[in-house]
Amino acid sequence: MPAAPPPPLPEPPRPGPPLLEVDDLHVEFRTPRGTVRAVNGLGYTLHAGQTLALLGESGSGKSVAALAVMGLLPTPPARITRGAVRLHGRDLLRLSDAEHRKVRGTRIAMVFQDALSALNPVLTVGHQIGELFRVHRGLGRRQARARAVELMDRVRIPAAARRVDDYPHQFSGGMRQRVMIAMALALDPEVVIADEPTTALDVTVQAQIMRLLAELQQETGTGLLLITHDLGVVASVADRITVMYAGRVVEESDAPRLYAAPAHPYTRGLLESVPRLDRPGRRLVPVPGSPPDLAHLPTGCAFHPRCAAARARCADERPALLPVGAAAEERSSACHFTDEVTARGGRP
Amino acid sequence: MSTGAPDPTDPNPPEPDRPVLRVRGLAKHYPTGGGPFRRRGTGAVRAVDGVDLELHRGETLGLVGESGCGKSTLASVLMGAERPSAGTVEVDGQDLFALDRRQLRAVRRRMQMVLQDPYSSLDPRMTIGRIVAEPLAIHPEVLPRERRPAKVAELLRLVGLDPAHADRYPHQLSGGQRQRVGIARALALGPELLLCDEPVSALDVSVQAQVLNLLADLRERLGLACLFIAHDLAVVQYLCDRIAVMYLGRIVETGTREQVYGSPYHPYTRALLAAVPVPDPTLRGAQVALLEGDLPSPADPPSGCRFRTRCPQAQQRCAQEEPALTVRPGTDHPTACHFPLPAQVPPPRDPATGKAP
Amino acid sequence: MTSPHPPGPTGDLLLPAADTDAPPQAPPASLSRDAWQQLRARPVVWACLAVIALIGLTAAAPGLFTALFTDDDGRCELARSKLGPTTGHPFGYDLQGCDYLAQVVRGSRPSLLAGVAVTAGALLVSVVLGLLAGFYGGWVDSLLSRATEVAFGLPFVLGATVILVAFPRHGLGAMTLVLVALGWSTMTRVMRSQVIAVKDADYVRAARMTGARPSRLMLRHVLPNAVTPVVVVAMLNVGNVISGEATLDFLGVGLQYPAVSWGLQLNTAQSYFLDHPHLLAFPALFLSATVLSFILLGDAVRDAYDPKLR
Repeated sequence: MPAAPPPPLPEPPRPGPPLLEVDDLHVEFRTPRGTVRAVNGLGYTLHAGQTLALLGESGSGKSVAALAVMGLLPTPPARITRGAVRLHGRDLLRLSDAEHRKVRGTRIAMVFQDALSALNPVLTVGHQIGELFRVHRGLGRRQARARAVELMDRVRIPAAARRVDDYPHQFSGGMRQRVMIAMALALDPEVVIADEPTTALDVTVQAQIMRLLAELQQETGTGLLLITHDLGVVASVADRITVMYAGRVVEESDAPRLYAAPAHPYTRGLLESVPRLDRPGRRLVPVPGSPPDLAHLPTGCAFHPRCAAARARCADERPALLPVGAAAEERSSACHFTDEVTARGGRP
Repeated sequence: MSTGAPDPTDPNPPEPDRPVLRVRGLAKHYPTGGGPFRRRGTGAVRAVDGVDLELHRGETLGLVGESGCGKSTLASVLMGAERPSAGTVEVDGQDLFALDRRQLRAVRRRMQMVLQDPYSSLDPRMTIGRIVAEPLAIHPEVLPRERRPAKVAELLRLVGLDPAHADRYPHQLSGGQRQRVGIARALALGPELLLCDEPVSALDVSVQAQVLNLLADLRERLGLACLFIAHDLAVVQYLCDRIAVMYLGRIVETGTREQVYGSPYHPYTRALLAAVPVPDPTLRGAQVALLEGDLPSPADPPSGCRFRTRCPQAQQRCAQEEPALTVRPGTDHPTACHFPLPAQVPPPRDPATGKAP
Repeated sequence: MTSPHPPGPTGDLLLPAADTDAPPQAPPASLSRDAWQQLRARPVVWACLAVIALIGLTAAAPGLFTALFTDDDGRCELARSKLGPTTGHPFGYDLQGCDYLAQVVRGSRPSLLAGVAVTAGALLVSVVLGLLAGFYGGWVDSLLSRATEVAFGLPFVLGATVILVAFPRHGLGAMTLVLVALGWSTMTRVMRSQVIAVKDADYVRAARMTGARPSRLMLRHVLPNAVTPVVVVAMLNVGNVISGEATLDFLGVGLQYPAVSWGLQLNTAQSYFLDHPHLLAFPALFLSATVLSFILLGDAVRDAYDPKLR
């Protein structure tokens, strides 16, 4: 295929002030089979009004990292061994449980993948949304219910006034996820963490939910941390993307540049291994091997056993996350041979 | 004991171009005993409601639809796990549900299934070698016992696994490796027809492509007919020659891959294709109208066209008259829509950049 | 840590690169081997096994213990009746003036025999019935489930008392049968629900669709995957049966004099407990240790097999 001249890329939107900073986060799990290192020095910065995607496969540590930020990790077996999670500069990891609980929900909220198990089956959704207002805002029963209806309206649940008294099982999967989003937004948080919010949904419903999330973010100006494995979903909403592999960041970039010219072999491998509607007839190039066993991480670069470009150095020395390209691009990649990867272009 | 030779009493002598699989008017209704659904007419969930399919040798048919469209029910009826409420399933001209037990066993050798979840589809207490050899143990007439270990090694190599894995247990393998084991098991009896029920949807992105390419290669090398059931339209496009789109128990559009993806006539097909997120941020904003609402309950499908409650083009006639699945004037493949959309293809994308011009 | 990955099986295949990297736990480990690994690390498991082995040894070779720990010559003298522990006779004497250690040691045999035989019998009955009921469903299940519920409604010790009183001339064999008849229902219910959970598993479906007969599905797939929790319940049950058997002896409806058992010894001891506490203490100690060991061991095994804890 002749190499097309790279299209001019739009400038990334000017970010607001840093909202959530995760710095050198390490999380491990003590299990009878050994220590599982789930997160190994993760760092990212989320700005107000920005959508940051944490992209990774199962075992990349993306969900564990989110739970660590929320203070929802079960300890033991989990242990945060190093790092900081700063919200407006204040380290959340140093807070007491009670203080952390206060931050959670009011300033950081989370949308889970499985809305059915995240909702209490014996309480109406109106009660569950209203509870947030009663507990955190001290509203009375009637006021809380009114606010619940208002919120359900805002997440475009049809006939909200009637459905407020329904139970979770009476909603479809898409509507339940809307209820989850309503609960996340109830107390006007500054950061919303959405962990695979559409993975359990059908494509048509997924498109509705992603559009809703994008619209709500526009309205409220919250920072959205989107955790997903779906390259299509990321492309449709993310401003910046952090690619994770084996608990580390392997690449960090704004969305258009990452897709146009991935700077890390793993990102490149991911892009080449998904079938795409817009490119029929292209033979997929799979990434060989399987995601690593977190209890026995490979030496050096964790991706080297699966990397076509790996050399001896990759097995010995762990590559640091270093800037690539022009400084204005604000991209970085953790590969000894980034230059070669980018030189070959992002597309086969 | 049935023999390996073709059945001499085969009631239907082979026709020159007889399909490997022929499904006619297949329906599967589950009676409901009351419940939260407001019912009108008969009390039954119409999971599959009148499906016709044909699958020829060496061909891959993709069956796509969202959850609740009936594709998994269809798969389990096709494998003979459940009896249909109406209709027939013919494998090589033999009606699956008119056979006695012995004949059914013989037919089952020719059709095998690859299941969705590589974690639950392998018996955790069996070694990989025993799992792959199990179809041979169930049909001992195929291969004498002493030649089975060699066959297992050959099968494991065929799906890209080290034959030394035969001594391991499923929990020692990764998801991709387990799915390869599932494929090796399905190929053990040398089937003509492979049913794949969402074979890659439980796998990691980087591993999906391995299994997709493996299936594509095996199909080519072994001349398999494949029925590929999936919800991922990009995966189906990658692997299938012909496509059938299901909605609420019916097929709403069918044709070759180029026909269905190139010029979808049914509003549902078009909405489904539009909803698939394309991994290219530069295409953002060029979004099309999305489908509103959810799938209606199959216990109480809408009158007339089942898609009319969510269809932007619905008219009076759609509520009264059920559209048949036929080729209509101005279209080149069958659709079940009274008012097929004009063959105006969504702007063709430049294959090099994937962008609209 | 991990060595460079071995070259994949290339051969003549045009297939994509095989993922031949295996998880590093090299030796083939099954679930039961993993469970054993976990059990091995727990001291309480070893303690329980030691107690059970010791009691088992006393049941198998009581003479060994009498010879080692006492000066007992097998003779009983009424003159020494109920005397407390002395040198050479560390447990003292019983009502008949026999060496009490020898008596207590001999008492372990009926307890252990009853515990193991009753549990084994009930396990067999429940595995067969639970498998049939759970696998076939329909009228087979309805019939067996009703029968199980009826049996479940019968109280274990009281039921046994009623039956044994009606047939006064019984030995350990008859008692075992009665206890099996009263004790199979719990395990059958566990087995049935396990079978129902396992029989719809994808791997059973896969075998069914390949054309496997019901017998193969049941024996190769359902039984091995469903039986573990039942075995664990059975282990816990051994302790219950031992205490139940002792209770029956104690109440005077189980084994009768001249048989020797812990229950009978406790029965005798109750009249003299205040003045001669050793009569009660030693058989009670042995009984409690045995029952406790079986129950703790059963608990440990259950934890080791619980997938939620791994």
